Amino acid sequence: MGATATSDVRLTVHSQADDVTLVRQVLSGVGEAAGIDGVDLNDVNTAVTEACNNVVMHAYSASQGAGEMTVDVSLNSVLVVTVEDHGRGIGPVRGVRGPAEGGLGIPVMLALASTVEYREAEPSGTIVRMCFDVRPAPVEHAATPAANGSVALEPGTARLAVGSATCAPAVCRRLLVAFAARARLSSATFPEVEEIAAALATLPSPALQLGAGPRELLVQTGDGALPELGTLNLLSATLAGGRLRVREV
Amino acid sequence: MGEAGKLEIDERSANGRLVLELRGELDLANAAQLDRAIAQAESADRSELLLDLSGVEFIDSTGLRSILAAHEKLGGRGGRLLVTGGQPQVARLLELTGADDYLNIVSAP
Repeated sequence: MGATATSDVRLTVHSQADDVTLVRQVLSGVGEAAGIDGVDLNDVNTAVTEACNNVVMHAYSASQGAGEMTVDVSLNSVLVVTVEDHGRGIGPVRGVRGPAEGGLGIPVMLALASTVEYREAEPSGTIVRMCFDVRPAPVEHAATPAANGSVALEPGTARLAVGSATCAPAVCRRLLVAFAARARLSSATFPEVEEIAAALATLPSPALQLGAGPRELLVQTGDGALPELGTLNLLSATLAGGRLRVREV
Repeated sequence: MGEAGKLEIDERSANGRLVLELRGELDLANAAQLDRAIAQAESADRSELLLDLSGVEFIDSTGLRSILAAHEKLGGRGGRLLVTGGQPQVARLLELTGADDYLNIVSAP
């Protein structure tokens, strides 16, 4: 994986429209953690959404089906977001995809990001790198970059790795709440979901695979070092082999 | 706040025109939901349709394209699509793309 060497947050999802909202949740979590102004964060969300939409609509052929899409976020003096796919690539002629078919997505990205660069991914696909001059507050970076593995993503799941301890609470919380909604857990349980997210965020460089079943939330942790959560008021949490299963009680 | 990524559409009448009130996020995942709601509203055969975007928290270019297509289609058959302004992200995209000059933006439903 070569999107960035110093990623603070990495999210891998399937290249499907429903998963683009997960990307926005992660970006909003980063924005919250880094104190990014709401107007600037809107611009970031808009531009990155357009880049992800391009992957969903164009990167993988119909015969390939939905492939994977990895979004890396790095916070230094500027915010850098890369979107990487391993689909068909951008082709030998077009520098960007979209304008030829009258799309608005690329012009919007170019207008909102300070720079937009395209390059080929290895072994195939495209990396879009966008810089945003949004002046994030300093955040703690991990000693080692966030990495969330290269095993194929299971259907209906997303993989999150957070290298920045500053970003972990907000990013874990927003993504877990999004999956709790997918699991159709009652909104009354969301405060407890946030409590569980806070526990996940205490892991050093949390690397999680998140999924949702009927009325249950599934979280696979890298090393199983989660604290036992037991039964909260409205949710029960069981942990076995690094797999956390959260259900309504 | 609605569930992230979800769009809710309510239909009502106001001042003799049909109003589609949108809440949530209008994006690639659910632009087709708006297309269907507009097609259904058109069958009511009124000359004006109002899209109330004040409850839309996020819109992408796919959602905007659906609105532009509806504008063209209604205009093409002598009708009119009216659009209320939305929240800051929505207003920003409309301004950035010039859609705010092209669409019939009104201040209130």
